[in-house]
Parts: sequence; structure tokens; C-alpha cells
Amino acid sequence: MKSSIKYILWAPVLFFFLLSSCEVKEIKEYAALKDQVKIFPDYTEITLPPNIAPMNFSIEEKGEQFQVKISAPKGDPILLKTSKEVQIPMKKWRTLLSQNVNDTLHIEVFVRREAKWYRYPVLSNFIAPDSIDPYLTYRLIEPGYRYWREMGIFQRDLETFDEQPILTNRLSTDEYKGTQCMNCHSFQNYGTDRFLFHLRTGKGGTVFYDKGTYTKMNMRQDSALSAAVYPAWHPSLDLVAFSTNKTSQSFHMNNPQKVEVLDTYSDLVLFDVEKKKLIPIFRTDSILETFPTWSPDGKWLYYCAASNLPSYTDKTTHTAEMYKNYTEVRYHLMRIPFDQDTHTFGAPDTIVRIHNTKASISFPRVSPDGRYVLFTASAYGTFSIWHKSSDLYVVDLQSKQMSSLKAANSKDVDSYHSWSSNGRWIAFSSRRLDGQYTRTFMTYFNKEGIASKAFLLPQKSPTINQTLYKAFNVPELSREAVKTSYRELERVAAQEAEPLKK
Amino acid sequence: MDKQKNKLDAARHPLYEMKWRRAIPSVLFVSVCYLFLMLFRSSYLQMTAKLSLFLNESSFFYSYLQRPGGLLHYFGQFFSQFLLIPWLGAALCVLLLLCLATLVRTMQLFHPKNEQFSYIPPLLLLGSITNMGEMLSVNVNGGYFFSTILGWIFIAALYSLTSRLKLKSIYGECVSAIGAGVLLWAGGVYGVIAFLFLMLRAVLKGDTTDRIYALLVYLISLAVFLFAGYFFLYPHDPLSSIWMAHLKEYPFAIGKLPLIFEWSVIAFLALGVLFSSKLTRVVLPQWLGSGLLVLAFLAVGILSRQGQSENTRCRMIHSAEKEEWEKLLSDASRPGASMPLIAVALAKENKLLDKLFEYVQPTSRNILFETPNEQLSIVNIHVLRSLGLYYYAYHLAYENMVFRAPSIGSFQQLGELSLINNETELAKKYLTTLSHAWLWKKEAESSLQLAEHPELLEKKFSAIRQLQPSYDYLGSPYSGFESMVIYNYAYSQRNVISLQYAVAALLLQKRIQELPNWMQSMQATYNPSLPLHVQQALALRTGLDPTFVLPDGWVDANVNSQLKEFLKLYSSAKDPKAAMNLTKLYKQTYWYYYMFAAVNSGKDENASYDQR
Repeated sequence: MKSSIKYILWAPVLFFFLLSSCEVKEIKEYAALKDQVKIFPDYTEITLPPNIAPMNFSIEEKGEQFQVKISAPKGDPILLKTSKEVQIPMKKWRTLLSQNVNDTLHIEVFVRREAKWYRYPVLSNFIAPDSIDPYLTYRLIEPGYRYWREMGIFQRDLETFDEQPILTNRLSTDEYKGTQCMNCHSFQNYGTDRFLFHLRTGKGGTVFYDKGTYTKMNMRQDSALSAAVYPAWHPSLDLVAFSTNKTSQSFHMNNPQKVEVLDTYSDLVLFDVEKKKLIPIFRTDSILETFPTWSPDGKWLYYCAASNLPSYTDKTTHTAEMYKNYTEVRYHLMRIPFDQDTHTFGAPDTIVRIHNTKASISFPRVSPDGRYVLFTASAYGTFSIWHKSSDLYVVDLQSKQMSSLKAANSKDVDSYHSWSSNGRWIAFSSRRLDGQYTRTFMTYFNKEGIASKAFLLPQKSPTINQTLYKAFNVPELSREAVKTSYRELERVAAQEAEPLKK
Repeated sequence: MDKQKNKLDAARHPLYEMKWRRAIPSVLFVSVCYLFLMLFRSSYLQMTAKLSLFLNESSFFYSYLQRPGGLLHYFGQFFSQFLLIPWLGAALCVLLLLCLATLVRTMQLFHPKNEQFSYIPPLLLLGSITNMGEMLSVNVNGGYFFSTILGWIFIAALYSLTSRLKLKSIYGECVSAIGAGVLLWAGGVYGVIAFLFLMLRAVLKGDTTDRIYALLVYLISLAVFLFAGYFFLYPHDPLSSIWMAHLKEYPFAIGKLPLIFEWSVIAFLALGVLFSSKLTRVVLPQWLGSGLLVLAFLAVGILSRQGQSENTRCRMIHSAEKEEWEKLLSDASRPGASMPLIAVALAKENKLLDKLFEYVQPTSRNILFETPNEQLSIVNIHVLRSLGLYYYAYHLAYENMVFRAPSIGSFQQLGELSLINNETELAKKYLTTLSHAWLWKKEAESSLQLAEHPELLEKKFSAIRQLQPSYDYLGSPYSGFESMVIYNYAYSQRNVISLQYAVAALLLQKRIQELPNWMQSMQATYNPSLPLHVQQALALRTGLDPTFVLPDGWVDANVNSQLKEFLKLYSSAKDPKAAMNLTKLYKQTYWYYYMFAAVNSGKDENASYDQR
């Protein structure tokens, strides 16, 4: 009995001793190295949001032990005795960032080799004054060509590492075991009160979530080319503009771009969510209209259009001609005025002509302040997501000047993108890591219209970028988390789609 | 001396003698199963290993835990990796089957003297897992080969252990139900089967009240475990996937052989449980047990022809991977031989246009390429690779990985194809993953070295990169193969292999009227004499169309005279004797194929190549 009391008394002492021995002491004696430390992801010289999750990274240098110091002018530095994979404590990271908004964050990496400590040159990053929208929604799918297996739409909390599925194809109804595919998720005006996505194959349709109610529509209509494809919610009305596309896929025999997708015909339609009616906007064979997007005031519909088609009059040879001349098909950036009272459109206007750019435009998105249109420019065609030449550009609607987001772009594909609701951040997909698996990158877009060096979406374990055999598609930022229920969506996905009203 | 005496005494002891005698069936069982696997399934085992995936990483383990039935599949994948070394994989498989036989014995369904019966379920399982065909890995979890055995081991172990519980009956049933519930999460459908067996056992014993209580315990437990899984453990899985895990993606329809074998296991054991109270009391005649065992052996052996064909096909794929063309051709006459791989081997040895029709019958289909089964033929990847169409080979290999689920084989193939295509960062991704697999670490690391050193990469692949087309165009690696190879040679790919394929495609499509257009290339490659089948086709062209004048030196006089003989016999082919002679003498000529094969002459389905 006596001895057990003794142990109980000694236990706190031992506990505090262990705790103090775990405390990391800053390394004072070291030799300075000249070469910059290699870390993955490349979190150097970047601008980061003050509300971003810890930017964990891997040290790609040899060493027996590693120590990392993360510091900023204000507050306590974070000292970490670490393996090659650096895991930054969430609480300390948040405190440090919040104390040093609009200031510099330093990262020092120490490595121990043969009983001696070395320090690499300090890495510096800037903490922006503007927060990024805290939620990012994306689709995780194998970047394949004809097949998919398990896939789904997920939402990531950018302030933590929490990732939640919105819906996956594990729903596996008896008839379509795990084969349902979903795509093109879209929010209305950075909120999540209204949300849609398409379900393909099986019991396909377009699922609309509108403030608690779920509807699944069959968006096929005899007069339209196809079911609805690329969506764009009107910022305030119960309307969604869609493209309808006749699409075909082909494969490069000797080209790392691997796959080519062509629209042989495409038009735009407007869907009235309340009336469940589809209204044509354009129905032309001679022009391919696609990628609709609204201006923030809802008065303009922007889109891309290709009119220099090789042949469209003879439908029997049109597809073959398109394939023969696929590198000649390029898309302009256009817009058309929209009357919000009568729901009617005016005359189209060209914003960026292709002969000025020698490029083809896709995925236009107007900045929340209405000043810039961000788009992807690639050498030709509509399938910029597989074109190595794809880069991000903006056109300033005031000066009509077009500029590349040079610091954010890479040699590989930089494509689908979305704005943060404050217009200061852009999330986009890029294949720069390996040429195949898209990852989400983020860049700061300052008031002068210049983007900073892009950085990879932080992950709890950065090695997931290496081990995950899925691509992050269609990264969409939103101010709030989705409000849909997984089980409810599962139910809706399994039911038959409602036909359109005539 | 004393020790020796003790040994002798012990040997004379009836128990010792009994144990020794009892070991005979086990030894026989082990020997026969092991020999069966080694002699008739060794290539199949290796292919199974390549289509599985086990990574030495915690994240890999957690990814399996996150899905219903995942634990069973994780262990299945763990064991499957050892199938790469067939003697080791076969030994593990046989040991697990023996373990199952022992557990079945301890289930106390039969009298101890009828222990032969305990070997029947593992034997039927052997029939199930060795007949899965190429689709054996079509499951997101993979590892079927072993997870099937393990599932049954868990069922038998649970049944056996709970039979020995000294608890009061209702508490015993509760413990059994909890065990089955855990097995439901860990092994999906095997948990359900365990519930069924335990319920069956419960309703056969005790009084009516006991039975009702026991049934209630099981039904409530089943519901609790199912719904707990649905709401808490697997909130993003449908209810069906919890109880159907393993079965739900089983790649075979109910009527297919592997499931027939597994249903037989269920039926056999269910009958055992049903009549256990009687069967444990009576000794069934020895001949019955032995007879049933022999029948089961025969069923596995006779009904396993599909597996045998698959084994041949797997062996040919391995030969193609190792570029052992002669070995590949030595399998050509076996059932299940892959004609497209034979064509690859012939083309590699520059004999495709001399020997192709020795292997082709007029009824043969899918000669140069396999008809893509859901466009996912593994063989077609090898054919496209041999032709130098590495991007297309990559496409197919990638789609294979997506459709079948990632595997060692897919990472190896994609890593190498990415290296050939000079996509080193992509190659590193696949190879780094591969380096986390125990048995592949060394190979992956040496390939990673290539990715890091462009000069080594160039040295290793410069020769095979020269097979690539000279320029790019849009096409499809999924259909219209014969048009593709013809178009390919004509426009972008000038090498001997693609020439052989293009001309072979023309011959197979009976487009002999186009042959003269190819003579320039042919004569530049084949000097002084053209390949036999080309000569036969040219001679036939003249025979069928007298206006066509055959230039000197294209066809040997011998071929012309043979053709005359052939045509003479052909014209009298209505006479059965003449027909028999025709087959006997000319079966291996192009003429025979031309006259009897039902092929639409002209271009195949994907004529769009010519338009592009």
C-alpha cells in the first residue's frame, strides 16, 4: 500500500520530466548550407491564405535527423523534431498565421548528418491579408478514358484536412453496381443553398438541390443536341445556363496528350429550375457555343464559340472533317446580354478573338468584382484539360488587355479554375506533377490583376499526392459547406429522373 | 537402449499407429492439391499474383478497413503476393486448405472415422479459385484467390469454437452471434453464411423455447451489426454492400463454375449441419467418403478445363513478357492458346507471313488482336507494345488498371510504358508505389534509377523507341485493329513488324487485290524471295483474275504448281474424299483460309482511319 502511494506521488514528476524532455530545443550550432532545401510540395516564395490548413511537406534531402523551425515576426515559432514528413501542429500554425497576416513566414530546415547539424537557407512565404473561401469541392476520379471505378464528389475543408464525400458511386444499386458516374458540380454564387451535378449512366439525370429540396431531372429533349453538359447557375435567379454538346473521343497515336475530345456540334440552353423548362439560347450548326458562365450581376452570359469550322453543311463528312482539321478549331470568348425580367438575350459580342491570341479559349469565369474574365487558353480545341499548352489567362474587361497568369502557370496542363468569392484566390487544376493526375493548386490574385506562384493544396500527408491514383477534377470554391445529406442524395441518385416540362 | 525400446513401444501403441494412419489422407490431400497447382496452374498463380496488390504501408491497410469486408480482402491480398513464386504460393494455398479441412473436422459434423468428408469442402474451393479466368481480379478489393479460402476458414473456426463453448446455451448463442457479426464486417457475405450455419445449428438443438430465443438472438444480432455498419462504420456504403461484400463484385454470374463450386461447399456443409446429430453417431462406409472425395477430385480436374486454358494463356503472356518466343510457340497447339500472342511471336521472329496460316483456321476469329472483352484484353496490350504503339498500349494498360483495380502488374506495366514514352515523372509515380510491394521492391528501384538518369533510359529503350510511329494521328486503341495496322504502316510506321502486321491484316481481310501496292516495301524487306503466304496470295490473285499479270520473281514456280493442285481439288471438293484431301494437304495454306473463311472482304468496321 505504502509503495503504491509512492508511485502515485512520483507519477506527475515523471510525467513532467518526460514532457520537458520532449520539448524541442532550437539548434544553435550548425553549418550553413548554400543550396536551397528540396521540399515537396514546393512551398517556397508563395503567397498563402491566412486561413489555410497547415502546409505539411516532405523534406527530400538525405539525413539522419531533421528539425524544422517555422517562424514569423510575431508570435512563438513552431519547432519540430521530425521525420522527413513534416506534420505541423494545427493549433500553433493557426495562431502563427493569424498573428502575422500581411507578413512573411519563414521555414528553416535543419538536417543532421554524421553527428553534425546543417541548416539550409531560409524559405520565405507571404501570408496574404485575404482569406480563401474555406470549402473546396472536387470530383475524385481516375483520369481514364473510357472506364471509371469508384469515384465521387467530395468537399474539403481548406482550414483543416477534413474531406467529406458529397456523393460517391458506392451507392451501387443492384442494376448498376458501382458504375454510376457524376460530374459538373456547380454552386450558385459561391453559396451552397443551390447546387447541382449530373449523374451519368444507369439512372442518369441532373440532380438539383434547392434549399433543402432534391430534384432529379432528365435533361434530354428532342430539340437539344444532348443532355445538359457544362452548367452555370445564374447568380441570383432560379436559372441555369447549360451547354449541350455532341462529343466524340479519339486517341493520339504518338503524343503524350494521349486523348482528344471534340465537340462536333454544340449549343447553349437555359433551364428554368422552377418551371422545369429548357429554353434554347443558341441552336446553330455553323457555330459551336459552349462553356457558359454568368457575370456577377447576372446581366451577361459569357461563353466560348468556334465559328471557323472546317465543314458543317454535310453531316456525313462533318465529323471526319473535324478530326482531320482538329488543330484548326479554336474558340473565341463571347458574351451576350441577358434581360433578367423577360429572360431574353440580346446580340452576341466578342470579347477575345482567337486570331489575336492564336489560342483557343475554354472555361471562362468572371471575377466576383466583374472586372476580369479568367479562362484557359490552349493551342486548339475544346479539351484543354488534356492539352499540354493549356495555361490560365485573364482579360481585363476595363482595358480589354489580356495577360497570362505567368507565375501560376506551368509547362504542363493548367486548366479548370474557380474564383474565391472575394476575388483574391483562384483554385485550379494542373497536371504539372506527373502529366496525368490533376491536383488542385491555388494562387493569390492581387488587386493589380497579377497572380502569385501557385501552391499545391495542403494535405495531412503530402505523400497522398504520390499514392492517390485519382485526379482532382473541377475544383470549385465555396463560402460554406454543402448542406446536402449523403443518404438523401443516394436515394435521389437511385430514383428515376423527372422529365422536362414542355 | 532404453530410448530405442521406448520408441519401439510407442510405435506399437495403437494411438501412435492411428495418428500415423490418420496422416495418410492429409498427406495425400496435400500432395494431390500441390501437384495439381504446380503442374496445371503455376502460370495462373503467377498471373493472380500480378493482378493483386499488397503494399507494405499503413495507409493501404486503413484503406481496406474503411470498407465492409475489407479485412478479409486485405489478408487475401497479403497471401496473393506470394503466388508470384508458384511453389511458395501453392504451398500456402494447400496449407490453408488443409487448415480448413482440419477445422471442418473439428466442426463435428461427421463421425471421426469419416474424416475423408472434411477434405471435400477445401477441394471444392480449390475448384472455385482455380477457375476464375482472366476476370479473376475484377474487384476493387482483389485477392479473391485467398480471401475465399480465408472466409471459409473463419466460418469453420467460428462454428467449431462456439461448438465447444461451455456457456449456458443462450449465452453461447450470444457469443456466437457476436462472432458472426464481427465476421460480417470483416468478411461480408462470409459473415452472413456464418449466421446461417449457426442459426441452423441452434434450431436443431434444445427445446422449442431455446430454439426461438436462439433464432431471435441471431436475427437481432444480424440486424444490429448490419445497421451499425450502415450508420456508423461505413456511412457511405449502401446496406447491401455490407452483407454482400466479397460477393457483390464477384465477377461471375451464379451459373459460372467458381460459384457452382462455392455453392457446393455451402450445400455440403449445410447438409452436414442438418444431419450432424445422426452423422456423428454412425460411421458411414469408408468407400462412401473415399468415393465422394475421388468424385470431388474428378470434378475439380474435369470441370477445370476453363482454368487449364487460362493457365496456357497466362503461360503465353509470361513468355511474351520475357520475350521467349520459341517457348511461347511451343504452347501454340494447347487448348486456350492465344492466337494474337502466336502472331506476336511469329512477327518477332519475322515469320508471320510464312507461318501464320499454319495456326489459323477458317473458323478462327480475333487472329491479330483479341476481340476486346470490354476492351480490356491484357493480350492486346502486348500486341500494341510489340507494334511500337506505346501510347495505345498505355491506354489499354491504364483502362485495365481502372476497370480491374490497381495491381502489381498494372503498376509494372504502366511504369515501364511511361519510361518508354519518356514520361519520367509519371513513371516514378507508378514505380514508387511498386517499390512498396515486398517482392517487387528491387525491380522497382532499378527502374526508378532509369527514371532518374536520362542517359540510362535512352540506352535501355532507344531500340524499342524506334518502333514508334513517325508521326501522330488520332485513332483508337479499342477497335478497328486490322485497319489500324494497315493504315499505320502506310502512313507512319515503317518497320518489319508493322509491315508484317499490315500485310497479314490484308491477307486476313482477303484484300489480295491490294497486295501489288505493297510490293515495293515487301521486296525491300524480303529479298530474294517473298514470304510464303504472300506468294500464295499473289499466285491466287492471278489464279482468280487472269487479267492480273504477275511480274517475274514474285512467286516461285513451286507455289504456282501447288496452287494448280489446290484449285483442282477445290473444284471437286463436293466429293468427300477430295474434301478430306484438301484439308489434309492444304489446311496450312493461305488458299485454304481464303476459300473457306467467312470474312467480309474489304475494309473492317473502322474505316474512319482512312478518312483521318
